[in-house]
Amino acid sequence: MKKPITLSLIMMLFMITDALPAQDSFKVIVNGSNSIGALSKSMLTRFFTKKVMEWEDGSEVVPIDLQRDSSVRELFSKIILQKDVASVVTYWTVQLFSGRSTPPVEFETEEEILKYVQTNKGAIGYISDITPTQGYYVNELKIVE
Amino acid sequence: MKNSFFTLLTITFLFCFIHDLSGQPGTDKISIHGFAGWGFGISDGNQYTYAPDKLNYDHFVFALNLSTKINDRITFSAQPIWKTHTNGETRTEIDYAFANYRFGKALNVKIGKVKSPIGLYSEIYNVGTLHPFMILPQSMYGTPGTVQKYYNGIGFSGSLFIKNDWFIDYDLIGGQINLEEMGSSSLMIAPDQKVKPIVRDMVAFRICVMPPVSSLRFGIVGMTGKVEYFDDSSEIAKSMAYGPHYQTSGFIEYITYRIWVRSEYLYFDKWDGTDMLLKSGYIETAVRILEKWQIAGRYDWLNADFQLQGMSIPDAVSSYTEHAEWALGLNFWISPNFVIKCSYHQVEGNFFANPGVNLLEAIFGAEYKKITKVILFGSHISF
Repeated sequence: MKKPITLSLIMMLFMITDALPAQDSFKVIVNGSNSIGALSKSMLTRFFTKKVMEWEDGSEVVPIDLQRDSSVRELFSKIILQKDVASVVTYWTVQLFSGRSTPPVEFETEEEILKYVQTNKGAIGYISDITPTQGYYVNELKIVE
Repeated sequence: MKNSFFTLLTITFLFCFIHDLSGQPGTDKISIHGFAGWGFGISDGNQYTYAPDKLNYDHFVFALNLSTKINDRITFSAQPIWKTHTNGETRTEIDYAFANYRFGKALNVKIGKVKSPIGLYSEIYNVGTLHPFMILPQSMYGTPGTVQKYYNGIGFSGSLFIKNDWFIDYDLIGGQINLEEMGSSSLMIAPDQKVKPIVRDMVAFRICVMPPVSSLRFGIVGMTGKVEYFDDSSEIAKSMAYGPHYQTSGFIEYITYRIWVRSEYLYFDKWDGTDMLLKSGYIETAVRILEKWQIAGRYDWLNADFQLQGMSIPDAVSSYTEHAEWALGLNFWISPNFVIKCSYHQVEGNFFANPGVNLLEAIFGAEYKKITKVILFGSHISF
């Protein structure tokens, strides 16, 4: 008698969790003329902290960010930069006022990110995994360890 | 003071029109940022930084941080600043103005009046939203000649990747450093003397290691040069600081949103004129609690060994060669860029805390306070 009840509870639990929306994920995009294909997490970190500012062909890397309250940016910061957004902002404030570097430009919407990346050869940005890129001249990058 | 402020505004607007500002939104061709701060302080007798024995409201700073990208490799940066100095004078100055040419990740060349990379705070000297207290550790940043915020000359810098996400940043600079005017130091023979030293033939390096541990960095600094004076101060005062010197320091820093930890140690040696040996350091930390509140603590110390015209400083007045400070602060962050600060400082020693009695007077028996208690309050904003 107890087993069917337990089994039912377990099944209900699976149904509930399956019905929950999947956690936001992100994808990294570059200009359509950029055929790089894949980047490691460490190289992405170097691009978005401006430790490295050139692609392999010598052209300038232009990283761009979403606004600070974006959940996609929060996820990108934690997974790729391994810092929360507030710590990243602190890092850039020090870099900015010490005259060493300036932070990536921030955009309000993912549509603006897509438009900027498709019109700037060296640009690299990130958007939500579920945001469609059809109609934009961008390539999605594979992230490798 | 009013004319200085309008000069600052004029410089800012002129800078805005040097380069094309009609770029598309989201471009980073030109950036304008800035910071400002205001504070007041009071001590229980001795003058310590901007806190005298009666409430002093006259402590302001306002600066604009301007940067423009000439092309992919060249940027120009400038920072005009308007601030009140410890002698009470308010002036408009150019903190720095330099051009940077980027050869690649491993080599940047800066030329002009450039921010000094010598200390952890030297490049963010007046940016109060990046400091846990209203004042910087005096052991490193209060003594003219040890750590200054800019140099006139040329600098080479770059970032080298080692392996497994270890980075080394390096700086190699040369030129001249104009030091802050020394007017409130209790070491001056006559209390109304003001001298403005310079360090000529300055060469310095900094090696900064960034391990894979996020937000951590540490490193070493070395500098040498020759101190001279532009002034008609007494020969005794001049001889106290004239001469070649070298200094070396080590630093470690861990900065995240929630926790700030910084520590530096300095060794300074000067010979000819008056031999002077300084050893100093500090450790400070700040922790965010309840999101908008931050508590901060600091221990700061300095020990100086020097002679006055060939005579050792008597033990009875050794407090003039010492400094030890405990500080506790409480900050409230109205927003990520706007903070209100309050701190209590207990200072032992008179190397920085001026009792109104100079060293010679103290040697001849004048009485003075060796312990100073200070309260500082103020706010900082950056944008």
